[in-house]
Amino acid sequence: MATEDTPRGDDESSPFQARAEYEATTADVYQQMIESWMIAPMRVLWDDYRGRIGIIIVTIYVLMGTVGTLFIEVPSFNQGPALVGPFESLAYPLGTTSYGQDLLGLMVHSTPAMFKMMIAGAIFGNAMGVVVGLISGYMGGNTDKILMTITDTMMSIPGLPLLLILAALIEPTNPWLIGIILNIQGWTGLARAIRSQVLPLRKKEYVEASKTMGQPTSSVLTKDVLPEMLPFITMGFMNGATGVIHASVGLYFLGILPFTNQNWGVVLNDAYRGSGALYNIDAAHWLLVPIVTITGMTFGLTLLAQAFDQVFNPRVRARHQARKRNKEDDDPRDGDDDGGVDSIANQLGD
Amino acid sequence: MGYLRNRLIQAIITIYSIVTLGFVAIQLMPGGPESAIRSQINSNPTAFGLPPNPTFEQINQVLQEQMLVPPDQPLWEAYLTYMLGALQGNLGHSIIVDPGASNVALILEAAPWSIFLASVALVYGLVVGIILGSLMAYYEGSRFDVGMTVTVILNSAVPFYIAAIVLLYFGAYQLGWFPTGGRFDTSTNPGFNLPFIQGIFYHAALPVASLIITGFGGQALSMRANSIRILGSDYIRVAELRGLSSYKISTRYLARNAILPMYTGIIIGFGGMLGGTVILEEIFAYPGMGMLMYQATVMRDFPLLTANLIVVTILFVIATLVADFTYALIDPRAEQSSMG
Repeated sequence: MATEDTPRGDDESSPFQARAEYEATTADVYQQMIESWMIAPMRVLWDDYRGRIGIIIVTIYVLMGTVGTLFIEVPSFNQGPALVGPFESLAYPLGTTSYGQDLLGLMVHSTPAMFKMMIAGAIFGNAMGVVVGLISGYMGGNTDKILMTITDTMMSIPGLPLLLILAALIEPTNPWLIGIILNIQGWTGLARAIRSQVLPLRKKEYVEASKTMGQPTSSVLTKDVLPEMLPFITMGFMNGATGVIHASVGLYFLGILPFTNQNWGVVLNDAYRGSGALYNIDAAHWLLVPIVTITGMTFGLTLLAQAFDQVFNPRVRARHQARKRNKEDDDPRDGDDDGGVDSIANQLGD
Repeated sequence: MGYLRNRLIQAIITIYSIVTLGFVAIQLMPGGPESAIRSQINSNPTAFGLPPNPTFEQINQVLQEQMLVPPDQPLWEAYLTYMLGALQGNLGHSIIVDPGASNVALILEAAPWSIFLASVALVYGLVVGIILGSLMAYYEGSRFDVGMTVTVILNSAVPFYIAAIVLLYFGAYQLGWFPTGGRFDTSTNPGFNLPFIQGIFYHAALPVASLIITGFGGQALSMRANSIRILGSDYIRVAELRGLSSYKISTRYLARNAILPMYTGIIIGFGGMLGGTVILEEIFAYPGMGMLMYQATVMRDFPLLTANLIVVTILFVIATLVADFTYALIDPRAEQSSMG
């Protein structure tokens, strides 16, 4: 709108007409985007010890769920001798159950369904949370009131009992659907968090500017407001995924979800109920292997979530940088000073 | 008072919705409520106070009593009857778990035990989490902080039922220090006497411990995050310059302000714990509300299950209300802001 009125003279000296010497190609733009959205955060994550461990752990599980399923055969009953201890034979590295199933196979072949559930649940929770939170915070008024009432109502229903009813009513077997059901309340917290972030944001100058320029609400929301919400979205994703793991294993352990999928919880259930692994020390590994697997996965995700805090929180980042610098300056005090003088002297000499 | 009034309205809306959801769930139960209950009566007539071979009329009569809603009503009338019944505290009768027994009576018998577990765990977990979190934040980046952060993350990555199984395995089965199930010592006589009360705590020790061990981590981490945010503020620096002890700063200056944003999380945690008792009580064979819910789910006793959900939600809503009212006392800003 504004540009139509401004005279398009050839006046090169006007600061409003300044042009870069080089034109940015599409490739440059994408490269920059990848640089700032993918590589830089990954670098920060990798620099943080928690992030590094988290990435490694999650990668292992991803490999287990993709490549691992190709190499390790689908476990079946009486596939090997019953209750082989862990690390005793190469064929069954993690031992076998009393039904003669290979525990490693059970773990590996549960992973793909687990990932499907996590992804479905986390995406569903995030999408709902972002949409509700953004609209509620940005629109305000009655829209806000209605949406927040719904959110608070959803939030006030205790999760597990609600899941029990839903699982009993629907008896879902599709992992994607299970994931969504398990995270059915996951969006509420995120929606509230995002709403409270959006509230002050909608009065910010640049948002006002976009509005005055006649940008449609949807583009103001996605271009100006949403990027600020990235930390919450990432955290929401991690929390959603962890929540889905806990809930799914819990429900499978209780035996409430139909046992059509392999799941760590099913193994746990078998071990707890079927075998007396609680009394029998020979069967302890049957209980231990799924426990370690579940804990490892959630541990990796929690670490990643922690490390993402570093990526998004400039204050934390700045403080760590400063501390690193301080340490480098302070620690070897005498030697370092000399070195500094030396190098400056060298530079001067050159 | 606007804030509290809004919270009250919210509570009523929540309870209304959950009762409606209960109605929907019962209507949707596989085969429909009428035939499900009829088949139960047919298969087990004595439990409903009928002779072994009941006549059709007798069955119909019991069916009328058992179902909150007469079977031949249209849906909207059935809804009204159900809501009115719920308003009077009548949530129907159990059909499978304990055929013919009133749901509300069954639940009220079990509920105090679950509330006991959850509240003990909540209080202990909170105390540990808050103190630890503020100390971690105060010594941020030190070896203490890093070590504790890893420990706490590891803790909170463990689902509580895993901790429960591990504790049960070692504490009860392998070492025999704690009982493997039950909620009190059956050899003592129930009442207000020392051995009985000791027995209660003795039996609750492992379930509570597994909730605390896995619960305080999350509290500590969010406490740490809040505290770090506050640590940058000027009044903390002033307090440091005044030479106050670090213990005083971390608990009095930091903790109080850092706990405020956690408040809602704590309440939600209580609801989660109440809900979580389903798995916990199943593992420890602790006959509380969760155990009842588990049995109702496994046996597909939908009236009992929905009644349970409704009661848990009401408990949760009451807890939230109490917290909201007290929150307004702690933080006067709550009156003015939010719930716009």
